[in-house]
Amino acid sequence: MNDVLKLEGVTKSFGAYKALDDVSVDFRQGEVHGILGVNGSGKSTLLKCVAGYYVPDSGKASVSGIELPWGSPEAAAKLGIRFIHQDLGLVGEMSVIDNLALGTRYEGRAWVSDRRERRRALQLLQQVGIDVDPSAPVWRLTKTEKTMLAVARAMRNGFSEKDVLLLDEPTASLSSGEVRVLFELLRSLSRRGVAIGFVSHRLREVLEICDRVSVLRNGRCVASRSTEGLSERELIDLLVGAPLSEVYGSNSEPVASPRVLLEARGLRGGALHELDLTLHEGEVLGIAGLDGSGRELVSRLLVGADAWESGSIVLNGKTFERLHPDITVQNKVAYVPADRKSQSLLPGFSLRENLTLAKIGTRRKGWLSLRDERRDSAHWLDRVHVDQRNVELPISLLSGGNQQRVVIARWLRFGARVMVLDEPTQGVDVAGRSAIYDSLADASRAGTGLIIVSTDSEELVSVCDRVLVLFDGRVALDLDRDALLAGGTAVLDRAILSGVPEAEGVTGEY
Amino acid sequence: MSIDEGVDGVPATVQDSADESTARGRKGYRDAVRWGAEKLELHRFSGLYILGLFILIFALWIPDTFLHVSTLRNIVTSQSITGVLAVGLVCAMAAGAFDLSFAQAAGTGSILAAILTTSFHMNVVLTVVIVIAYGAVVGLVNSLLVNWIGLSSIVTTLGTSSVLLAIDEKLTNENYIAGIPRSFVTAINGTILGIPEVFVIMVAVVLLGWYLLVHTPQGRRMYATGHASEAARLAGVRTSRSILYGFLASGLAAGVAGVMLLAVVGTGDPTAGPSYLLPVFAALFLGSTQVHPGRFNVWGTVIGIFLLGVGVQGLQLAGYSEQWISDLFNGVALLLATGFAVRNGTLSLRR
Repeated sequence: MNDVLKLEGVTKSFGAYKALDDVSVDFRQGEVHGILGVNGSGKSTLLKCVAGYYVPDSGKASVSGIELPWGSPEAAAKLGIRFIHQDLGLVGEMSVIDNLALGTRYEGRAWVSDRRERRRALQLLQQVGIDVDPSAPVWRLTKTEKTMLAVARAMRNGFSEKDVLLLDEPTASLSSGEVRVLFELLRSLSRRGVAIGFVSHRLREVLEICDRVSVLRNGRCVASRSTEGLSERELIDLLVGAPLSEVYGSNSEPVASPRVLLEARGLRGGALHELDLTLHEGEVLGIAGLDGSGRELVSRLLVGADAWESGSIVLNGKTFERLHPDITVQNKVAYVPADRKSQSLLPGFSLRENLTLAKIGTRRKGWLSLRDERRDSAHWLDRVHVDQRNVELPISLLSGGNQQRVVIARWLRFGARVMVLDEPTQGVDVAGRSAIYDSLADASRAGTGLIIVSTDSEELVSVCDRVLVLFDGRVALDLDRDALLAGGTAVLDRAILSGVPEAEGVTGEY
Repeated sequence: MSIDEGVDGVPATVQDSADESTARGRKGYRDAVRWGAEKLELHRFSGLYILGLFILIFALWIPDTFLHVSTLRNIVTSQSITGVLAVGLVCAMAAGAFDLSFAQAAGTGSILAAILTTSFHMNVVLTVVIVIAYGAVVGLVNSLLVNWIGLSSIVTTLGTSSVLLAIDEKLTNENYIAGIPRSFVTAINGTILGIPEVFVIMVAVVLLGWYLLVHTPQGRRMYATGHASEAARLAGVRTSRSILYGFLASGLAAGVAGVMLLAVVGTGDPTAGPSYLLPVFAALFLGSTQVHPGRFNVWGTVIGIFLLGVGVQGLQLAGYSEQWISDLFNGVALLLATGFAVRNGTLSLRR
């Protein structure tokens, strides 16, 4: 088979961080090629370089022998490279027909002919094999249908043997069954001669469908080989690197005192099928999982920001069938969302007002004294080491790390017994991170229970007493401190990818 | 020509030093201006200085008519109803509740008061209590529609406004209601120690609004709701309650203003309400560039009201008494003030 797209020695740095280091991969005609790697290994960066969104520092790319200029999405498209983003790039409010026509010149020039476009849309839909009403708005389609529609759109100019279809994590939000349907489609496209490359986390499915896999680790391509004779376990070894020390998956009691602060029983909602967890006093509980494992829903369900379908949460000995944030806050449960700008900060407001939001009030009853409030705010900024004397400064002028510490101070001042943190150090530099961890460690020492939802394995391993690993919407594993210490991020990454422990005699059920 | 040579053959070093000295001079001047602006707190109280300027201009231009107690009384009386309505609106808008119904609510309130005092011969106290209660009901209905049904506040209040107008027209058959008892008019449009009573009411409402918004936790929660509703909700603020209080304040203020309106006009005027809509909004947005820029606030709004009031009254006394002149004045003042504030970055009204 001939190479269609050939990448040689691609290197890309962001500042001091090398996202891609001398990566060479080739995509062949009629072949499905999986690109695998844990979070931050550079796989998406690689696709974005090919698609022209990033310009690599060095390296070459060619399509059927013709050199591909970097940094030009138009040139890539012209050479037959089709690209599907993780978010699919569909417009939910518009119909299937309109989405298929989006970005091309409308057919019929001066007169947009509905009938002709409809005929063309039906033809395309038939080609990818989905049976949907072409005039239905896209938001009404299922996730699989949307993904397939995106494929149909990418291939709307017909298939040719020189085409390359690249997909960036098309399976992230799909269930296993849905993934299979999509893979069928990719298979049939590849049989027609299209070269397909895609990024995925789904090891089992990848092994089933792909002819070849390339594994990226820390920006380097550590393997590019046929899937023939490759086992899931070998694949994990390639992804994670370090050999596995067989010590994890124990069910020992946490060291923290046994008092239970929060309990989730059979919580179900969206991609999260069943969540059971127990948080003890002073415990730091991590939640890990791939995108689509239900991880991203955990924090919002626990604090009642979104409604859940079934199950319950126990707070202070009371069982709740549903929750709203004001009730959780009354029960001393704090929420630190990942999206600071729109979900936790009052952007145009002062440090003081942001800090006191959860518990507004001063010593004097019936009179909110701004002078008292200022003094109190300065005191709490000091506690979390935000070096800013002027409490009237708009919070939007602070760095991300300092903003996050103000949010944490808000809840420390409030006296939260439980803090649920979603990606607490996202977009925070290294110095800011350690300051945030210090503040959190102080809180935990004072008995506050912390739940940290994170995609950063290093963060979870270094701060958590226990990490729950979600897989396919369920808690697949409960890694305690000993397991984390012994195995480090390798153990956690393995568990995140496969959802099962590898040591003999330990089942995946929790 | 290379850059090192300087321009026009002047050696680069000489030119540099010349540039430097003029730059220093300009910088010194700019610093002085900035220092002055800071001392005068121009970014917060520019409206007050412009108000002073207006008074100075009119005092020099038409000293005989402008510098008279009756002028002051006129301005104060005519702006009191605007002031009461504006304080209510500040509360609603602070909580993110866009209220378009307050003006018609006040108009219908004054018709209600007129009917209660004429047809039902009710005494002053009972009339006032009923009309204020009516205002509270208007606020409650607005907040129910917004909170429970989830309608946008603009659509809701546009709807309720039209319903209130219909009630107004049905009650009056679009005629004036005359024969308001003197006892009612004097009880509300009288003077206390020479100060117009309506002005005293306005001052009381202003103080109350300021206290509630700035010096109670609930007021802060209302501002948080209006500013970043989702962030406030996730921090435990009951945002629906903030919206309820906002509409309630606006409705109560409309009730109070309705009573004042009847007493000031002296007859039940079925078309009086809507004329307050634009001036109150103008004062509100003008006010959001003052005292606490970027936030709807009570004292800023009071500055806005008197700025507009003095300007319009002065122009009228100077002989420019047509309605279009005062409307033009209101509109231009609003656009200038908010335009400057948005350009300065002290205000964001782009949302």
